[in-house]
Amino acid sequence: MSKRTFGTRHTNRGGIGRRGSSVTMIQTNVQYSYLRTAKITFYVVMAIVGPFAAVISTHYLHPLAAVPLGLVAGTIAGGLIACIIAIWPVLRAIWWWLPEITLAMLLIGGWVYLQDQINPILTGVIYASIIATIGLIPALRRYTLALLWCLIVRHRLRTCFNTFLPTDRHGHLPFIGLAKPIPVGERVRVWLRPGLSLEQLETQLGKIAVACWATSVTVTKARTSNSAAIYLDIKRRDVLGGLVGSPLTEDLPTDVPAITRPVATVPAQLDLADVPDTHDTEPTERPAKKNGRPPAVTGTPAKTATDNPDLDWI
Amino acid sequence: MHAAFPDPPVTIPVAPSMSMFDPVFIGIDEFGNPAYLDLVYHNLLDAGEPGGGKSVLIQNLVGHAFLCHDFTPVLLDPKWVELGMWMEAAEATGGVFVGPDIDKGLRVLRRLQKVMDRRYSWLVAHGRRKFLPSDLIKVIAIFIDELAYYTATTGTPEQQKEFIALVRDLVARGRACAMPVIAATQRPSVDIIPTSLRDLFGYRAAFRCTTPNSSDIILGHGWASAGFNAQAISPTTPGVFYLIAEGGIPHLVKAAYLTDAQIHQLVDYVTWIRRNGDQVPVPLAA
Ligand SMILES: Nc1ncnc2c1ncn2[C@@H]1O[C@H](COP(=O)(O)OP(=O)(O)OP(=O)(O)O)[C@@H](O)[C@H]1O
Ligand SMILES: [Mg+2]
Repeated sequence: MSKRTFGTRHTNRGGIGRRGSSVTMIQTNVQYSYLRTAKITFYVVMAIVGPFAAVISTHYLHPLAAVPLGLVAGTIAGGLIACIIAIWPVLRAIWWWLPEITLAMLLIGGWVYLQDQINPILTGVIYASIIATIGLIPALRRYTLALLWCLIVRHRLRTCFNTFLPTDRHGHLPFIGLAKPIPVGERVRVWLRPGLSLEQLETQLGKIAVACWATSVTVTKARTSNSAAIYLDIKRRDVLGGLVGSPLTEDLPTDVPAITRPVATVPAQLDLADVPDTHDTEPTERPAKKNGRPPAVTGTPAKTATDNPDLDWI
Repeated sequence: MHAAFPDPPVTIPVAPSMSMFDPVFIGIDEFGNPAYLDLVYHNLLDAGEPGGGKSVLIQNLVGHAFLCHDFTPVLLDPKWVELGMWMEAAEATGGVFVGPDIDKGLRVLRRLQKVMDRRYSWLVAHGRRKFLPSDLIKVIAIFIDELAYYTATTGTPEQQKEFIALVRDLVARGRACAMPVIAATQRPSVDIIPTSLRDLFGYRAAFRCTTPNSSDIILGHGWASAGFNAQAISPTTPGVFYLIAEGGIPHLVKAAYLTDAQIHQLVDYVTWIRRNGDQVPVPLAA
């Protein structure tokens, strides 16, 4: 029955009676209203700050004058905080785009400033030469590219959290912190909201890697004391494939005399044909001996368990 | 056996300045950061398919150890080619090298057991629980490449049993008295190395395996299903392994590679600086 009700949303789109109230109901419940939260917060903050401000001001003013003052203080404080909550979706969007916004402001600001100081053409030349320098010096280019990936990856992660990762009932997304380049890719700090855990993320790492256009993604706790703070490490390059040198010989003196290694008799007959087939092999070296081991004191049934590959780690 | 030097060089050998209590560089982790291992207070089990890179990792540890002023080597290698390279250096340092000879191996292990007893008496006498770097004690590190050779291949069943029992004793009690065991073997399943011995190793290094089950045997049950599966290591990158050390969660490490020439250079140097062979007895801090 419940299945049928669920199905109606997709199949009976055009139907009238079946557009079950359940579906609409759920959606109104789920709708998280920042305005409503802001209103409640306003009253709560006012209820706390108002009396507090009034009590403090009685020390300096007449009690009758303290009451309106408390009211005003409470309204201002509550209003401010309620404002922040009400425009939180906007603030959050600004946070997501903060690096890009900052960069754009810097670029435009710099252009305007230089244009006023010198002239637009020279400004263009300066900008072009900066870009050319970054493009031509490999270390700078790599670093810039790594930073660009850091910008991209934050938005890709937001897409992940938006589209396929579980959220709480209100659809809150985890807080995506800043990303920084690491030798294999990027490391992003993420603050999880209630409703999502590191273990849940672990099951989705493959999908996250696809969304971030990366080889793989690993997730680790950022702190041992708080499981909401995690690191997502986005890997794009492989460092394990190359050869890692050992630093042990770096500081050794070079004029060390070689030791005289004993030149033992080097056997020359290295092929199978050089070892003739004889019957009298030494009994201790016969491999068959292992099976013929006497089932002595303890081990009779235990041995059979080891034949099962699933049990031999016991 | 001392190496003979026809014409003594003009330079003066400088004693190595590293200590066994220093972290040992073993390679880089998957993020490109250097990876270190704390050798003295932990036993390391090093396992994986043939050609995985177990011996290369051991060479790193041995190389570091020989450059330490407080190291006494005990090297067991039935294959000769890996730890056998250090034979001269081991003898010059006052240690032992054991080839494919379980009798000699057993004798050495019995001696080590006595040393261990004495070290514990020393600790008891000083009211202490473990050795510290300030004690200037020699760290006797026991390196065993191909542990399975001694525990399942060569010798009589009684010898193998005694070998297992002695190694188990060293692994169990050696940690606090600065006698760590570093063992490598291909697949430490119960028919080769008893669980009672295998599970005592605190640090595990799992090189490439052929099945997730083999990976679990090395790292511990359940890690493969949690995503730490040594089967997934690419066969084209030998030397990559999952390491469980501090932190308790496996992480990927690529071991550093010492070339033959580098090892010869190290051996020459170590033998040279100890060419007199007689060890300056390091006084224990009373
Ligand atoms: N860290 C590394 N970097 C580069 N190459 C490596 C590394 N580790 C191993 N190799 C390559 O793999 C080869 C085999 O390594 P190694 O001898 O250590 O394997 P093993 O696990 O000890 O094998 P076996 O079980 O047969 O003793 C080496 O000769 C080397 O060419
Ligand atoms: Mg080997």
